[in-house]
Amino acid sequence: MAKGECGEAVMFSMKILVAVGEACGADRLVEVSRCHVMTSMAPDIQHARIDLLEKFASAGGKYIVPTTVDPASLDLEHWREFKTPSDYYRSAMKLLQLNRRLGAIPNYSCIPYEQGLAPSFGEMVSFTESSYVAFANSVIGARANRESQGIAVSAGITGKAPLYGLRLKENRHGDVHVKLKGLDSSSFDDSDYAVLGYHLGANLGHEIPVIDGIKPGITIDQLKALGASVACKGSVAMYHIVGISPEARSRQEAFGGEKPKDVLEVDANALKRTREEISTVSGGKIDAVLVGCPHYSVFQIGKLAHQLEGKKVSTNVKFFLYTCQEAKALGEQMGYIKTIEKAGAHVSVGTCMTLSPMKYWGFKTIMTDSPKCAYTCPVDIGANVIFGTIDQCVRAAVRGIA
Amino acid sequence: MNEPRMKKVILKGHGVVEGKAEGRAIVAKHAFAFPHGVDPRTGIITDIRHELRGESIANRVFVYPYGRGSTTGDLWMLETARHGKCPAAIINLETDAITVAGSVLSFLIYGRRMPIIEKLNRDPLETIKTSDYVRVDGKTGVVEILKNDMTNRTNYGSSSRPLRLKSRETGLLT
Repeated sequence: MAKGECGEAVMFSMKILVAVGEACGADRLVEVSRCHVMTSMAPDIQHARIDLLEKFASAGGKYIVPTTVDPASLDLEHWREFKTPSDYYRSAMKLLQLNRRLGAIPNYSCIPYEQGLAPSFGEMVSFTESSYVAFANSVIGARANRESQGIAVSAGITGKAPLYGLRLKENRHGDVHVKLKGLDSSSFDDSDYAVLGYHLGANLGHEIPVIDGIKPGITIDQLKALGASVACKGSVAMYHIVGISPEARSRQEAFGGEKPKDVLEVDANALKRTREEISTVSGGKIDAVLVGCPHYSVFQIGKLAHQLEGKKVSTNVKFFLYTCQEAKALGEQMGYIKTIEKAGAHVSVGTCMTLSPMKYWGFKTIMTDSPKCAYTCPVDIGANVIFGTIDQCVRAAVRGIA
Repeated sequence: MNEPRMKKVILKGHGVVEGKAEGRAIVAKHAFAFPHGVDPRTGIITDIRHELRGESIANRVFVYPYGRGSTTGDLWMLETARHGKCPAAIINLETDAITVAGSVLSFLIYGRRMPIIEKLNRDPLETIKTSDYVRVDGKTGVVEILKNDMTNRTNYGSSSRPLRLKSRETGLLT
């Protein structure tokens, strides 16, 4: 196949996959049934990204397995309402067009599993987007590595990927035993799970943590928040929660019958310190509140609508909620979107904070309920960040001060 | 280049991405992330937490233990190659999928070779010094090090500028 009898795009893809496979010690390529690629702007690297997709598209490349895409670089419905430099707009549109040419599914979200596009247990996939990789491995039990754009696009075009890393069962066992010390998970809210994830990501390298002591009842949104936070700071691609994750029905199964290589005890003080470390400033005047990283589900939209009902966002604050088309459509039918917009917040579809032209909007301090957003914003937007619960975010949005 | 008072050391490793390259070495003791770690337009390391902040990797043989950071690493390498500011070659203790993808893409898209060698028979972080001149063959895995014994640090290669070893000399690594 690498010799080119299937077309130039397939040949390029095979070269990349074979080189990556050899470097990672894979002895063969395996079939993947689903891919997820990032096609947003990230202004620092936009030319490389466009040239890469253009190279594949003009060589006749087409995704032969279902390939979803991460959020786009513009609000797909309302980009005109927000300042967008014309060259930014042109590049963003070019990327949308390249996605169409390659035959991507235009879901434009980081949570395909909430859009009816999830893989199944044991399914071999190739994903970019670290939060989706963590979710797919840890909640669903699909076989995903943290892969880059070049690998995932090549996998989409060939339907193949090298057999290495977390595609192999023997590499999916836990390494570090995480013990919750004096903590009762039944009192955890969404924010606590996000902080726990961030704490683990900051304290682990490539290791797979096995979290012990989380009671059943953890929601999909909490698992989503935990996974996004665990993956954003470090290199964690998978975690197990004993009794919750499909490959960790028992502690023994999670560790594959082996002894843990290490133990990490987490107590209330550690989580409190981590919570404080996520913010770059402790309080003060804010310009914007950003929620929906990863994209909000309809449940989270409902919760926010309830919080914002009858309130008014300060005229000095811009409030953005980021979500996918499907969650917004449901939220609209349930009246949530109307309530949120009435309070003065914007509902942005198919994009996200760090992938939008927000750096041109001059925000100095933003507030968010997402550790991942808090981690990327200082670099991507150039703003200070205050991390808080959704209640704290709404209160600050109304007062203009956190 | 002239090679007076040079000692030659040859190491052998696993050639991951083929290509021949040579240049002055730049050696980092800590893992390196291309995303937000380097300015693609200049090749200068921008990661405020990295020991080599302010140094250029452009057209140098970049020696570091492991890659780390976001999955956009290959695109950062590619953008750096687009500006002609990528390393001449990469030597890792053990390389990773994203770095390999970045190197292969740089050649496919911009015709820029960036051979990668890993698992050398001696620790490259100890054996190679930032003042050395290094030749790399990504096909055979052979790394030829021309040790600079001179006390005055001469510059080599096209990207030469005065060598600063401040972080290593003071031991302030990260």
